[in-house]
Amino acid sequence: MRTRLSLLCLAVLLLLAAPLFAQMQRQTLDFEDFAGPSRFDSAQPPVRELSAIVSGGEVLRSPSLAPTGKTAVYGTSAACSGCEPEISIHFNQKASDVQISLHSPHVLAVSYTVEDEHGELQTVTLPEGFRSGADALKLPFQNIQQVTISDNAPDWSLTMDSISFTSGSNPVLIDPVVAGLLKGPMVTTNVNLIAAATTGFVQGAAADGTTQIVLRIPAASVGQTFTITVINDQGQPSTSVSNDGGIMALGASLNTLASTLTVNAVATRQGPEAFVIYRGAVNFSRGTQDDELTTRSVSLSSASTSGTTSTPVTVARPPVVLVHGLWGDASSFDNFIPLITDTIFNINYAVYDSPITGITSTVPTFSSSIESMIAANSLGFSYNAPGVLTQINNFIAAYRTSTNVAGVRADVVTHSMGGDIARTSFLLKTFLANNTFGAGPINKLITISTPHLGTPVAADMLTNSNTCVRNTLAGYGDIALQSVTFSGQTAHGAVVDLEGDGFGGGLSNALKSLKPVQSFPTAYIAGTDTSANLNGLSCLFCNAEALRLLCAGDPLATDLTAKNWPKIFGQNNDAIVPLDSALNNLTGLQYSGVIHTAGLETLDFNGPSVLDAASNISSEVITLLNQQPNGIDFH
Amino acid sequence: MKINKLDCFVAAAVLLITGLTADPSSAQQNLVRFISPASTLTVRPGQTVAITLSADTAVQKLVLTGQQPLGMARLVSDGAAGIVAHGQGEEHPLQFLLTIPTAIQPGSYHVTAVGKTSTGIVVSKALDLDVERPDDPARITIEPSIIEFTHIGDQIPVRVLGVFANTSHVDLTHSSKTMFASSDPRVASITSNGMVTALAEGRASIVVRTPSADYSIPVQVQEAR
Repeated sequence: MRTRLSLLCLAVLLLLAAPLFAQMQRQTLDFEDFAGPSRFDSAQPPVRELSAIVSGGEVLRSPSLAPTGKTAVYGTSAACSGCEPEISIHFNQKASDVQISLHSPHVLAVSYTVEDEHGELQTVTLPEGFRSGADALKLPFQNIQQVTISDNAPDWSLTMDSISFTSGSNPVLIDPVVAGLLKGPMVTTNVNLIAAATTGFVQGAAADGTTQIVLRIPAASVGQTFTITVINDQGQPSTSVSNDGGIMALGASLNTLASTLTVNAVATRQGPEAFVIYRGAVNFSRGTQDDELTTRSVSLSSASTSGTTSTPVTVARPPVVLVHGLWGDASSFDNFIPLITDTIFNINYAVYDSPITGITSTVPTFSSSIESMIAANSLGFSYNAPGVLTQINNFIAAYRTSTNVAGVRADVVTHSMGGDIARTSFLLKTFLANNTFGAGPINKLITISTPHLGTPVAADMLTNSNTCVRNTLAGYGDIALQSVTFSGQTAHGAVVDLEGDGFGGGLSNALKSLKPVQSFPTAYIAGTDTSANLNGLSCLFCNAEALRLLCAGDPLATDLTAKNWPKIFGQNNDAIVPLDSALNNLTGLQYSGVIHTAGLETLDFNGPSVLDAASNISSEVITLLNQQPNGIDFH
Repeated sequence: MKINKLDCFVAAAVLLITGLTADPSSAQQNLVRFISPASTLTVRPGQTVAITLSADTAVQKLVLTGQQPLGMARLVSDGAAGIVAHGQGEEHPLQFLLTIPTAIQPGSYHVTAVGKTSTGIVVSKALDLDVERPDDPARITIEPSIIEFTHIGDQIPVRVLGVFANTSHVDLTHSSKTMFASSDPRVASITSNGMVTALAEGRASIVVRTPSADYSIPVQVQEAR
């Protein structure tokens, strides 16, 4: 009888204590998900993970300085360029019982900031310096907002690992993709799973119109009512789901998104909690006031009978992925300034330039020395689309880790064939993946000089009458292929996929398959050359003349003159891609006095190319990245 | 059916003709031969390299081309327009000068001679130039910072970027000084060109070895459910 009573008491106690457990969760930040060098070199951007931000130094992987057995640590040193002699750990939610494994050859100074009972911040410096060597720093206090650890020696050096802390008395934002809370393409409605989540804590969501995060609110009792309101950056209740993002109940349809919602706490194994889904803003920039910002913010106000709490939500730009074209690589964008140097954007490069090995035959045939130069950038859309899609998805994952912001889509900017490859990726069965909420990872597509309707130069390059030109350009690594057989598979060449007359006729099968595809908002940019771009072809003792001399009789060599080259196209063009093709027979942005690629300059065409800073197309792309996806330039 | 057979015949004939016309046979390759430098030569950006080759008198016209961005070499011993040469046999080698651009990415580049005979095209064997900077980067950045695979067999390339004292980022991925390794080749493999392939579920690290330091990228392979 006594035993039964004790068990009953224990059960009651556990039930009563459940809300407390729900509000407090132990987290450990161990830096295992971050890349880094084996020894100090230069400061990194702050590490953002869980609900903490660590700054001042860099992540080291397999370091020799740290205690053995540590695969990743965070540290700072006088040998690290740009690193500070102190490391700061900022907690997004007030933490308690903070423990940190430290290692240093010097005595360290430790201070921490706490919030007192009046809500004021107080900074406390530990009376005794932390001793040299390796040990655990323990701060058995509550309401800690920041911890700062300093090595004041001239040759400062310290590393840390396993930052563990307890937090969670406030509502938290959870990325359901990282926390494994998806069921199909939707957030699970299993509240026990969401309540138990200990990973995926984020501070915001990308403005891609698709990303969803969960607001988890600890409650005092089941049935407690919360009114959640999206508050805009002016401190006012939002009136625009599009601009500020919107909220909906678990399991609800997207068409129920609203700026305010009332929900009741439900029972979970972690105690009573309430949940809402926040879906991010449709576009980062609401107007010129946002065009030069990296992030902006909204907040989610949770009002109940026990008071109101405010959860800040960072609204971030989606990452940007650049995709190069035929025979190109990441360096194709080296002069695409100002975009590539603009720090408000998270810029990434998807590349497909790896050598193709195990080649047994090609059509047309080439010498073995040319075959050895064949890379993926000479192969067709279908071969390269899966790899580019994988890279886009991975850049989005890396973005989530580096920014601590949830995101599932990227803005993709492509040059030339890169646009065809991006469109081909939509045809892959893995495109509309669950971890993109079934929407796919491309938010906006901006194509620059992409031959959506092919180019007549492609067919010319593959004819027997241009064998000399084809082999000479192959010496540059510009290898025109119909097909390649390697390692037991046969893949289309890129050039055969690019066949088309540029008006819409004579399309390759690869381009035909893209014709009905309009899968994401797409903006088209086209370049056209002028006589100034072609005058260089009339040179003497130059590469163009050398090609004309060497390959006399080849039509493409004969046409390599300022007078004849435009005749290949029968319409305006950028020396490779016809205007109608670059615009996909739609409206788009046109730039005059530019050529398709800097590589043409080695054949004595005059720049700038569409990817040169002087073309101003890079600035145009920034404008498009800011433009709403249903803006005037997007189809 | 007749039409199909005819189509097949025509296609086969076209392929045959294409092959005969475009295939520079090994016999033809021997019509042009590099004399110096010996393959593989290490050169520096900005350096001008003297390349000597012999071309059979059957080679009527000839140019020396380097893989982009090297471009065409300048003929210094003979030939029209200072670029196009003609074969003069073993006794009279042809000398070209090839200037390595200063903005080139370190790595291996092919140089080939392409010529024309009365019967077709002749392409030489390749001369490899290993372009390397003499200085080491002040710091290295690796892209991507993490690798997360959701399908076995997927591939992601690693890029190694060096920041040098006087320039912006330089791609060092294909430099002979850059080496790659996987901490667990059962989970993820990496080629000498930096291509990572997911092989099995699990975690691993890709180690990038440079003259200044080693860098690690965490890799996770977890099949999408």
